[in-house]
Amino acid sequence: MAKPLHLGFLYAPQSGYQTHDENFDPLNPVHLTTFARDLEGAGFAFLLIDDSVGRTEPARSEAFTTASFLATRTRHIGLIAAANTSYVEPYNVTRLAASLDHVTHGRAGWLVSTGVVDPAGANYGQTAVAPAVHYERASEILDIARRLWDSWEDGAFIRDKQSGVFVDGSKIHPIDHVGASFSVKGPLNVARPPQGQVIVAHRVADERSAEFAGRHADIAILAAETAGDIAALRDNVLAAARGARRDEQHVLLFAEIVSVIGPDHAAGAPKAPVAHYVSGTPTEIADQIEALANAVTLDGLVVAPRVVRSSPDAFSRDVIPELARRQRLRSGDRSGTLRERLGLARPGNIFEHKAPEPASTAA
Amino acid sequence: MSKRELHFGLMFWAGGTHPSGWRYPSSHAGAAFDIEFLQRVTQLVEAAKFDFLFLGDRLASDPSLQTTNPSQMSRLEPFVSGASLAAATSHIGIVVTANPTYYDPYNLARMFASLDHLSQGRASWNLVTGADEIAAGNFSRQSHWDTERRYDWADEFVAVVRGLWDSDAITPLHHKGRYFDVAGPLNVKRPPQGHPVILHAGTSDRSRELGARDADVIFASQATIESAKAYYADVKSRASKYGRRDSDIAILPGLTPVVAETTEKAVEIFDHLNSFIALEPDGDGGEASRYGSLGRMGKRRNLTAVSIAIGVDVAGQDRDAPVDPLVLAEANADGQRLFADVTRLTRRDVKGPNRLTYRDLIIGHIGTGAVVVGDPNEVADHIQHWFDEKAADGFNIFPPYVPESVEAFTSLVIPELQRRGLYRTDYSGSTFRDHLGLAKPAPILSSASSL
Repeated sequence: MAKPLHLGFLYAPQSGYQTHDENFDPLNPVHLTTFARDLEGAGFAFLLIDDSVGRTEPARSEAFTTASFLATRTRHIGLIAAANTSYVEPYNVTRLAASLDHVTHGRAGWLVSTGVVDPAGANYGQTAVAPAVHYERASEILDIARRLWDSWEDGAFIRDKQSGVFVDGSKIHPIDHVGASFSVKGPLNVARPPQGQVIVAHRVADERSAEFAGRHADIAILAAETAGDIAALRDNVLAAARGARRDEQHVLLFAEIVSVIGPDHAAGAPKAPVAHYVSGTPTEIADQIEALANAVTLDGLVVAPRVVRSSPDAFSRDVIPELARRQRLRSGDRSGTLRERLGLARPGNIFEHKAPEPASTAA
Repeated sequence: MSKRELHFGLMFWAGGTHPSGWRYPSSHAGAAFDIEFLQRVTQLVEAAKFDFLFLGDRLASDPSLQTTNPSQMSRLEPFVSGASLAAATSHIGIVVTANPTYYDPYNLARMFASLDHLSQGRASWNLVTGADEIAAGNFSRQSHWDTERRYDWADEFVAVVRGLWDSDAITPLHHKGRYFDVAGPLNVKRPPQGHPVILHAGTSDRSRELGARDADVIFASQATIESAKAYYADVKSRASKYGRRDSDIAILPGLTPVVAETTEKAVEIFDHLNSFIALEPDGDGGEASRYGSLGRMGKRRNLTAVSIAIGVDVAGQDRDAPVDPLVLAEANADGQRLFADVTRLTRRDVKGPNRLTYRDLIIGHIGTGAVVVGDPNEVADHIQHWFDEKAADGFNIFPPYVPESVEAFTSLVIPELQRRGLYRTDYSGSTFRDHLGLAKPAPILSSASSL
């Protein structure tokens, strides 16, 4: 039998194919709070807060501020906020993610998107560039972010009131990154995140995104129509992970499913171009999910409903209990970090075994 | 015209604004990354009806700050803290520091619009242009931009951000300027405040001009009432040429209060705090690169530096010994001011029963900004004097140690100011603009895109 699944929820009111009911206002903090708490109560391991800097319709608030707000209003659910690497400074986005991890006590993630899926050059004085250029930039930013997150070792803070020693300068490292698009000296000005490295998620719909996810992501969200196509993306991600000399177990594979329970209340809205649709009654949906999980080895599902509701929807109310009854869902401790909940180890620090660098660490 | 009323903000530095505040026995040395602690402190000043909590920022870190300014070494990113604080409070304004030199206007406009929605009208932008040279190295810059370049950039940046806040599908912005080319519209609805409150600080000519034109609150750093009055008058007169009234801008100098039930107890706390400052041996009296290149050099913490400043050689003296009255008699004008300041803060002088020491001179010499030490009446008198004299419309309170100095100020000084009718006993509205008595601005899109 296939392994039990983790559940994530994709909140993407700007995606074009997700709408919300009339009682849900994405800019209303009370509605957002209720919504996130309902997902937490329903057993979702994480909420992906998608974002867009290219679409013009005013639909929602920026993902990291939204996630930070919800951090205070929730206790257990992982909060994974989107940021588009094509239009941010690496130092800024790395700080946002590290800080979100602190305020969530280790429940934070970063959903990496690029100008390939969310082109926005017109808002940033940039001309359009090829997909490869967006991904090269994304890849460089991820390399920078991972080093910056490690730039303060876990034991860097001493905070000894008696001696007045606040930090151990030998445990704070510049990264001295000089690359194709960026030069970043470091260190970061944020303590190492509680998870060591913030969870990185990426949506995979083609070979290029599979390559990126295999190389950089902890969570690969496979978006394709059929089980066969999802399996093919999965194989691409795992091949890329092996190519990057990563342990395959360190890349969690989630299939994105668009759930339509009963009649499609968003039937007027365009359908997602590539997505695995499940539809029908809660029992029929559970059957379809089981069929998918039997066909493709997955770590979890990212549920992307057509309609975001102001109260728990039928998926939370009926499908999740049905899947749980069939022992298809992960259960267990939800009190720890998102990494712990997902079964991912806290990574070591790349700087920890290096000799101190005297030029920059002298106090 | 409505009666003038004091405004207060709290400058949140986790370890306190005193360089050794984190070492104070009741301080929380790990506060910088403890969001629940930030929330408690914010709730404390919200209960005291403060206008705002101020989240400072720097875009670099430097281990050398640990003995001089540990609160500036590392902190939570202020949008993250601010959004999290918004979720834990209901009225207080939330000031996030952001430096246009290292941001895109589209991203910053979105962040502030989002924070304004999430906080239901309490977001504020502390616009700094960054005198912090080492930040350039974290943002792929070969060198630090000079003041003119930073302000040219900031002037256009703030116009673009305001234009984006006002933009919509019908008027998407289409800004093409010297530095920015931004199509718009912003994809976050116009913020509840129209434009989040803008704060600015600075003393240069360009900074005063930006503040007079664009800021709703100006955070000044004048240490004396004379310089503060001159600054206040200058900024308000500059503002009038942009069609702005005096009441459109609140000028709030920084103020470090050390307050206790009695004067003696307050002085004791002040001395206790200063006892944690690590002094240096005499010998080198030159400048010290103390603030991680934070735009200014530090002073040496020794008697050689004091000697140079006051014009009398006191190097090598026993630091715990009382100062010889002859030193005061021979001191130059700066030295006279230093003695007067030390006496004002410590109530010690060179003659009476309480004698000031050479150590006091070192501490006084390295001190910066306005400090007041005293009982609740003395501190309230100081505040009222600056307010009445139009040196300030209120203060950005620098808590030297946290949370106790915040508790002391809110429980001892605020009630006294309320008794005097100088300060609100409750909020009259729920947005930061409401606290400042500012109306929601009409859209200004046309002026933004014509720059």
